[in-house]
Amino acid sequence: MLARLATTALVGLAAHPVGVEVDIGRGLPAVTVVGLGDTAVLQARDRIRAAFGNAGFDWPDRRVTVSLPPSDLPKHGPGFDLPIAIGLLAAGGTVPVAALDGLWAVGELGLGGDLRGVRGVLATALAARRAGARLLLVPCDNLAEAALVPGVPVAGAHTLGQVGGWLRGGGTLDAPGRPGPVPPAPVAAEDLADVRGQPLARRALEVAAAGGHNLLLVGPPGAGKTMLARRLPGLLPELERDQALEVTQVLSAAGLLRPDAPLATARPFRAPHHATSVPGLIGGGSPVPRPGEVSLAHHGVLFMDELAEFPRAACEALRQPLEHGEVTVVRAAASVRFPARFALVAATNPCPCGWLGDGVRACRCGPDDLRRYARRLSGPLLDRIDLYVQVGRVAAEELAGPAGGEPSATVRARVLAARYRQRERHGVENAHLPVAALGAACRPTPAARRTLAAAVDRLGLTARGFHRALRVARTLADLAGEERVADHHVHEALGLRHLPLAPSGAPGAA
Amino acid sequence: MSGRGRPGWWSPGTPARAVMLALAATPGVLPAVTAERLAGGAHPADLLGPHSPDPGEAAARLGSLGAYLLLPCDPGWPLAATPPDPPCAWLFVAGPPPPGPSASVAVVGGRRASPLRCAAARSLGAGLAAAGWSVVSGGAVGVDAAAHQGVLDGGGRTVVVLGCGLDFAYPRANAGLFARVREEGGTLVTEHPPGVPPRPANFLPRNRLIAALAAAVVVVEAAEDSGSLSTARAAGARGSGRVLAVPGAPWDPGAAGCNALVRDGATLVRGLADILEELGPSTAAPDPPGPAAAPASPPAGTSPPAGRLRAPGGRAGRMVLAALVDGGVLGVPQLAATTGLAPPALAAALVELELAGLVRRTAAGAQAVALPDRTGRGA
Repeated sequence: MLARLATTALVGLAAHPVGVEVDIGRGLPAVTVVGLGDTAVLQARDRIRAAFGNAGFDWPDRRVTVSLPPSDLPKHGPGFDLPIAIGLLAAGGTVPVAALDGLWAVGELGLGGDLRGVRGVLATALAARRAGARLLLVPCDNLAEAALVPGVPVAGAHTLGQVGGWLRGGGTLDAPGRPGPVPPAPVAAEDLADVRGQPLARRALEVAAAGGHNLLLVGPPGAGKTMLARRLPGLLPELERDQALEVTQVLSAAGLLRPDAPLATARPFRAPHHATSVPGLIGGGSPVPRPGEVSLAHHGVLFMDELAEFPRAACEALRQPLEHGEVTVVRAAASVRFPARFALVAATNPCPCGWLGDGVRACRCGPDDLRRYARRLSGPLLDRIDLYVQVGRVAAEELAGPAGGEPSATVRARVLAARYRQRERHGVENAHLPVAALGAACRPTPAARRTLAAAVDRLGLTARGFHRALRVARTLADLAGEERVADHHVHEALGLRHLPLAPSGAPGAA
Repeated sequence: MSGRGRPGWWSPGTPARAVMLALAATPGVLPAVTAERLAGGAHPADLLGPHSPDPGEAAARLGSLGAYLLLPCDPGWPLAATPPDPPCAWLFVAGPPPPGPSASVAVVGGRRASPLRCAAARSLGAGLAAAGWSVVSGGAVGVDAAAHQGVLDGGGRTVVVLGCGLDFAYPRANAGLFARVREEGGTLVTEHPPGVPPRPANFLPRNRLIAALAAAVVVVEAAEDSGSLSTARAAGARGSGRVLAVPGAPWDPGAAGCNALVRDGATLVRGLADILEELGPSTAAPDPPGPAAAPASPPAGTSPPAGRLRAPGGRAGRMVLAALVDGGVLGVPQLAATTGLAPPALAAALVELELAGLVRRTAAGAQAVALPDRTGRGA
């Protein structure tokens, strides 16, 4: 007899509909799975066989053929266990075939017949809704995640026995809890109020949050660069529902979603180590790629500490996501696009020993050391960073004193107001203002124009640097609630501009 | 030493000058050691080795570099009045013979000198050139290069004493400067034959030549263990050599050596006038300076600031510049802590100073490169 139901295969973040056809016919006892499954899929028959025995179902001692159309789509992972097992139950006559009508299922089977959660269930639910599924059956671990998608009935089960009983009409499945309103974003544990001193870095964080600008922190070891970067997500507006779903989808596809928090409400903060491989950074893996750190930071903050230690290839790979907000990963089996719109915060020591400019501890690096170190920073990556700020060591008396800085909530209120102005004006963050729109958006005063012209003449400001300074100046004006970009905005923006790490030319050859 | 090691070309009839050339051009010979043996009475021919080149070949090689060998018996020998210790038996020279201590001043300092001290070296070089003195220094980046540039800008004569053969333009960053020195009538000098690379061990012995070629040594910058101090010591040990130093604040690392020299009796330099007063008039001014060669305004870093420091950017600019006056790199957070300025005001003041050409910034911090003249404009 032939039984049919549906499931999905995850490609990137999207789930593609996949049929599950199980036929039991005459022949020597054997199980064949056709349809481009990977090892985990082929091993499904062993897990299902054990689960059948332990759940008290009869194993059909006949010829079993399982097909997973479309046959040219690669399939991987253990999520096919549950639909194949249901198909076997129906094809073997244990449950009525009619009960499988419009049924979608996904889940991994334990040898004892228990059901385990799998990756990418949110995407599966979206695919099931598109296909008009009657019911999506998932392991209870994934139930809350599946229930995030309105418009598709979902149910959960703990064991294969529970599923079999329900299919026979004798038992019940678990219903999802009522999907309440989106819980408010958790109050960020890391508040700016904890940061002592660092007025420059605070200001730069506020500007970065307000205009969507990427930020480079330069400072000696132990100055608090990581501490500052961690506080950027808390200055950004809360995730909107669509954004939260996108973040959740990435986490789900990467298998990082916590069952107790099905919807990601906090902006992610990812801090990949500089030894992270390029595939680990931008996504990869075989046969079907998984999201990398840039996608896990989608709608959040990507923090690259010790930027000079990152291999050049990794920095070059960041160009596409920084420019387009997504990455394309091509592998033999699939070409996958992942979203990757993040705020970049990079950090570096000012010199190899770290103490250049400290004022108290002397730097031991020679001019050649400085130039070599500066060369290690990737030019194309620095080109996409609008804000440069130095972070100094905090004096002992400041560390001992009360924190007393402005809390994140106060700063965020200003950020939200500035972002609102940007959205009203152009619909994009200032950092992404196209060059053609800059003049109209900024309307610099005559004095501001003169300062910019002087900067081009005397500071060697490039065309790109000119536009960057103008964008930052626009954000400063937005924070101040001013319509036009004034001279003092341009001055401050130039103070935060891109600077080389080492002086060019021979040192001292003035 | 016997004649066993003598090369095949040698015969008792070989002219003495040819023997000296071959000896000077022998690879692996330490010039100071050989000079000491010669001073001790050794015969040059006895010091030749099997590798000593044919004098004809050595002369051809020198000729291809536009250089020649200068010996103590030659009329232009500059070290007759000030024999260095250890002695010097020959010089390889490109350009006219160095004028010697009667008409030269050494201006020395470190490679990592701050831009302000480099600017001071440059303007002192220009001022000395205008007063008719030629300047002697090494060939390093930093103060050495700045001093030579100042002399050349002032239309004067300069002498570069190298620690390697004349075929090495070391450091490479100064290759253009060396070419300019030759074009504008200056001199490159070394004890080392062509083919000798710039070894670290060559530079300390080189410093005794700088001291011997000059009436006085002006130390513009010297950290605590700077090589410039050995030049100053060599001049001081001579008795007739004067030592002058540009002082700095006790916490300025580039002033530690200079301040120590002043404490030990060196003449303190506040500006060009202090040097000229110490030297008296040049006895052999090669070119009387034209009026155009004199600096138009008090050169940066060499005149005591008249009254209050003036700077663009108002009070904030003045506070920032005052914090940077030692010339070192200071991070922006440190500047914020020193001046107490709010971030927007500090950023604006820095940009004003940058636009005026007084401050240079890198991602590591800010550094003063010049001080304002009396009108408050950039120097």
